[in-house]
Amino acid sequence: MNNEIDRLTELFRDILEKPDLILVPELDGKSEEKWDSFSHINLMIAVEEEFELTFTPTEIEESRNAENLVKIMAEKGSNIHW
Amino acid sequence: MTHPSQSAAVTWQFSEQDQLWFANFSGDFNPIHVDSVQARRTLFGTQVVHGIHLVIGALNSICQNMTGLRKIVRLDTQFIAPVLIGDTVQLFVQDMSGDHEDQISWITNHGRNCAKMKVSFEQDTRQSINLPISVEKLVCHEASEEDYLHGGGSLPLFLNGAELSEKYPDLARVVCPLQIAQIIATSRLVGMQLPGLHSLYNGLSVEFSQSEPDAPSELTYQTLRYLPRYKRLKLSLASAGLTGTLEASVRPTPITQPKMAHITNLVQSKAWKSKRAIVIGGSRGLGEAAAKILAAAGAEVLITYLAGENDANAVAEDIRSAGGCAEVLRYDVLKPNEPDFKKLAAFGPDLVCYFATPKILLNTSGFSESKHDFYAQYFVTGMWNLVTGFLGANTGPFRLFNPSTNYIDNVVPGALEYAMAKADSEVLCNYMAEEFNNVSCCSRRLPPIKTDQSVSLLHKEVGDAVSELLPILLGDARSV
Repeated sequence: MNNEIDRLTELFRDILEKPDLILVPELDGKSEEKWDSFSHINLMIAVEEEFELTFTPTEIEESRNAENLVKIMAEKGSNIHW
Repeated sequence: MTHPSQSAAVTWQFSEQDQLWFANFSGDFNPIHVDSVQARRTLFGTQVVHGIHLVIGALNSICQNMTGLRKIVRLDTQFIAPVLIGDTVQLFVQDMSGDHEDQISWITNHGRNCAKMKVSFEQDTRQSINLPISVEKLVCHEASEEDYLHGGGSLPLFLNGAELSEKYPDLARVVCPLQIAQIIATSRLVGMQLPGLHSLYNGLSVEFSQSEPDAPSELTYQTLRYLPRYKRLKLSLASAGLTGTLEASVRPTPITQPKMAHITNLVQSKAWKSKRAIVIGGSRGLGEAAAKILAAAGAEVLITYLAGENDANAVAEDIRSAGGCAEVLRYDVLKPNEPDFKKLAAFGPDLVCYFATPKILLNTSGFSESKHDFYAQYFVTGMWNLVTGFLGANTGPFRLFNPSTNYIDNVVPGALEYAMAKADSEVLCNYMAEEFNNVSCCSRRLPPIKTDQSVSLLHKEVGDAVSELLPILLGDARSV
């Protein structure tokens, strides 16, 4: 995993209030109960600020699992990969 | 977040009276807090406790063991999830001794954090504060995108010290009244002004310093940032001795169904001419769309509602203005009363569409027997009582349309009990069709459809009610 994944993990830990969370591609709203629509918006705003990205409404909806989120961030030029 | 040895400082359950108390105390009369009929059409389906009421309650508990006068130096609070009227929530405070100047507290709802707060105090030498005990009530403002982008203004401060002392005596005893007035003013700002009518309060972050004695008693605000894709605002705040920011969201507006003028253009058939249809739960959403489709297809329609009398009358008026026939009746499927039921039975339906549904909240995981029973009361017991009641009243043969859900085939998190109860309703329909000569049934598993039930903070592509229901009501649901 690269440093960008570590930075993203910190955002997840902070917003989902899970200090031990390990970010894996399979993580989504089904496996993580706290990842609901409220926390998703907080997460996406935090990702935009931290990584200096802007998501479209469709990308915001499609980013509700970690694999898609990382893929979309990479497509937007972030040097992030698993 | 809760330490295993930590016990709750307070357990709260907020009632209708508590909601009204805080609305009067703060001036925040947003309907999501105080109007059960309007609140049922919001994201949460019921009244939401004012976030700042939680903060005031938490501060009161923190002040319980404090002696002398204190001034808040810094307050950070985040509202993570809504607390609904009737919810039992618990306040946890890191240290209740009153010895620490920094206090962290959080509020949980069924073990899940819904608000957290960090507050710092210092000793205070109280100055006399001259604040009005009330100000003119604001009209809840329906703000525009322009307001969100460039909003700004000021609100006068007020504080009813007697009310505060009675309800939250430790807070009134310890904390500077001006600061309490400033904190509650932020609730009025969000709920009544900006974002106003369609608002959600996300969080507050303020710092306090010494205020000038003659500083104006008002809270000024200005949009710092608006993110349209998230409908999220950040406002700057300033008041006597206060600077900070707050974050708020624009919540989705209630979903409206197309007018009859539009639906009559889509419905060419008069398949229901000279037939009578009862639409249980027809004041909005799928029921509203079904009532209009059936009326457009020639049916005489009786629309029932539980709480939305005005909504139901508006649907009926729309149907009548397009030349259709529609009546309205209040009917509670959980507590049907004899006179209302007699009126329903006397209508002599050829079709009964059963849309009675409570708010579906997809906010828990696992299985809850009580949640299943709650839904089953509507989808199974209510339907059984209605159908067997009609049979007992000899209303004649009729067809029953049971709108089910495709969550039965593809269960989504939090919807397990809802899907199970809907599956039960399908079984019940099959049984009734088999056992009762005068009843035929049509259950259809519908996808998520754009209604108040499916509304979300996130952009989601879902079907529309008329497109989904039209082929069913003009096809399979027709009389056999």
